[in-house]
Amino acid sequence: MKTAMKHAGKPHRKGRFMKTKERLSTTFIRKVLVVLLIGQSFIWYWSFSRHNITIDRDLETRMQTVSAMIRNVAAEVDKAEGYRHLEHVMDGALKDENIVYIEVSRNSEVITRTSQSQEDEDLRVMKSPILKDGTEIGTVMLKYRTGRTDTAFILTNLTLQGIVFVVLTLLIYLFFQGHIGTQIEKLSANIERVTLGDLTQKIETSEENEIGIIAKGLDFLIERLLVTVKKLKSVAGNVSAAISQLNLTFKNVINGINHQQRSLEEISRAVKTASGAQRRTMSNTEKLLSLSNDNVSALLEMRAASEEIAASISNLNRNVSDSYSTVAALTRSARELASMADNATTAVQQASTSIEEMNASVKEVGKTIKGSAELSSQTTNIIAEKGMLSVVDAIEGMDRIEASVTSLTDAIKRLGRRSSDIEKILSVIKDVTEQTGMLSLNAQILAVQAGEHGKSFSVVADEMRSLSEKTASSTQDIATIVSTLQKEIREAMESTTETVRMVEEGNHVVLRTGDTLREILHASQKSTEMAESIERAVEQQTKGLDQIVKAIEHIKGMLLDVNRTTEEQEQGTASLLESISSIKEAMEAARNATDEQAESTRFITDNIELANERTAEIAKASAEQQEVNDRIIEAMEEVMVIGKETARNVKEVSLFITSLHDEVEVLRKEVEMFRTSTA
Amino acid sequence: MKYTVFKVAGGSFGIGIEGVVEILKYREIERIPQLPDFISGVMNVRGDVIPVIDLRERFGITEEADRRRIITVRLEGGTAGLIVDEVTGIREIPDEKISSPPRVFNEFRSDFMKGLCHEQPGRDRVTIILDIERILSRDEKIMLKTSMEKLTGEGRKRGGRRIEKRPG
Repeated sequence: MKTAMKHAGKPHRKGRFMKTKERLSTTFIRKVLVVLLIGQSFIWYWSFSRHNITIDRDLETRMQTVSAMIRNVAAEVDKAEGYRHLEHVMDGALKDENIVYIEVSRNSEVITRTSQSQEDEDLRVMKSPILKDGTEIGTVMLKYRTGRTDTAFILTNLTLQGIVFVVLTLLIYLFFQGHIGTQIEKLSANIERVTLGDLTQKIETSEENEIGIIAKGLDFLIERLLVTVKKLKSVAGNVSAAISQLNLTFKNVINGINHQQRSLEEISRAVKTASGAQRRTMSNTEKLLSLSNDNVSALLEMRAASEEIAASISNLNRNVSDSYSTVAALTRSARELASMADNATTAVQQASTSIEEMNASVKEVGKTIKGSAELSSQTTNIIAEKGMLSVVDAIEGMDRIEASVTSLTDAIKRLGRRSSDIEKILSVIKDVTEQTGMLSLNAQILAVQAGEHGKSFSVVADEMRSLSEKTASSTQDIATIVSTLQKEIREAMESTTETVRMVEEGNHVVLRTGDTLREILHASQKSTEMAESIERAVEQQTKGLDQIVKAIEHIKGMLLDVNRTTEEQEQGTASLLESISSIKEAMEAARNATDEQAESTRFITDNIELANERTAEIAKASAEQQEVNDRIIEAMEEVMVIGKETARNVKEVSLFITSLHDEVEVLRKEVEMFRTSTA
Repeated sequence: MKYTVFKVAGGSFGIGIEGVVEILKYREIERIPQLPDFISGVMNVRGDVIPVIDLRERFGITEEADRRRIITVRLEGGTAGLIVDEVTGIREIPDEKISSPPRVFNEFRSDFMKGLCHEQPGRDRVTIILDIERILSRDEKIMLKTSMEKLTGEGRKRGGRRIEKRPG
């Protein structure tokens, strides 16, 4: 029974328990029988010795009577008849089977009588004087043996004693088995059932003796234990359910966090893609800037050529005017003119080459700008669609996490309340344990005061004491478990608070990411607009260049005319004068064209400068955007770190909860061992 | 011989088990003005009104403490309760382990004591074996008897010492 509580589930304990019980009753009966046997032996011995004493006394009286009779006869003897009478009396006396030897001495006359068997016996001797008139005249000596043991008497006595012993044995056995034994058996059977975890049984005795009190006390204990265990069961079930819910909630939280993490990774990827596009835009813009610088230098070259042409043409004009005055110098002048015309042609050729180069450059610029605009709009799309979607996802995820964490906090608070319920129950158990302890002390006192009869009862009292000690230690264990539980719940609550803070921080970061993304979108849209305006400017530039090319073609044609005319002049001076006016006109036209070209070139230069300015603006905007991108990437990394930390914390809490769940399961199983309903 | 061992103000005491009736949980006792000083009050044990002696007060200890048990003992043909701090248990103490007490030991008057039991030689831990009969002086015993008769006199007239149980 001492250890049975601990191993209540093992069946082999039952046999050992029964053996203890059998030993208890048989020991009691055996001890009572031994006492009875000793008592009877004593009585038997006493009656036997009394019997012997009576026999001895009778014998002695008889011997004295015989001796007196012989003395009387011997005192009167004085003649031969008298002696014969004495001998006759002595022979008569020898008929008594106890008397072995008679010797009478009178006045130195000795008469002896002996029976047949006399040697082997342990004989007693009785000597008495023969008195006559106050003087001793002789002695009578009797030798006799003590009486033999009466075997019939012994047999009768033993038989009687045996019958009494058997009857008493039967009576004691019947009394013990029928009264105390049954009750103790009932008690121990119940204790055994309780030991095996069945709390549904009651003893329900109506006895008013000590066993009845113990049975009632036991009933009361079992009832209290039953109520407590029922409460514990329900509480353990509740706690277990709450923790399962908690586990579920945590799984949701972890899912939410993983989802958030994935969303964040997507955002990060999108931002990185955007950043790459931005970098490409920047390098393109730089290329554009360098190309524009090339354009400007080509244009400056062209301008110089145009101005040279204009100067040459003015010079030519002056010379043509001089031709009018000096015909003699005409030939020389004509040659000079021819060489000058050659110079002009070369210059025009150079200008034409430059213009073509510039045209090509401008077209390339146009292409680059188009590419840049495309990239910009692509970036805008990426940010607007994927980025914002991811941010929305992240916000939703954060909301879900928040909801999960809130329900988690509620569940943990409920758990806390449940554990204080357990504390209340523990105090009830402590009460019961104290009561049991006192009950066992009182039972011990009763057992000691009951003396020998109370020994069996003291075994029960001892069992009660060990039961109460065991309950006290179990209660202590449960109290330890509960305090561990409460500590863990507190830790879980702290972790949850930390999680809530993290989630709020995460929320904040996600919102900031959204703002930053909107900024990027804005910058990107502005960049796209700028690229489009550059595109328009380039188109205009291309149109201006086309005009310049046309004008140069015109100049070329004119110069060819000049060349031809100069050749004709060499053939004859006569036709010169006629031609000179047309030359003059052509010169005028050439000068006009040249002026026009110079103006176009200026226009182009202006446009290109404008384009350059725009490009520089784009470069600046791109650099700004890049900076913003870097900030976003930094923020994203921060978000990821916080997310990972949150996940780690949540997992930690989850681990806590799992261990909590395990412990509550252990508690629940321990409580489940008790059977609390008859079903 | 077996003793009921208990604690009062940190000291360990024992009384012979044959004089003990039962051990009860401590409960508030009724303080009645007309009782002599050495009786702290009376209590109702299953219908019997018995006098209660606080051993702390009896030993002259004024310091208050958490008292948790009442031992009821047979005294002067009746039953009396002794308020103690704690009951340690029932213990077998052989007579040869009990030595006669000095005149004054640890502030307790030796006339309460029957002997001292040294648990382990050389240690300070000692169980004082009390003589229940000597806890009260002869005069006090007479006062106790008369007081109790006065208290339960009305109950006696109605038939014995049993009085009605109060509800709760």
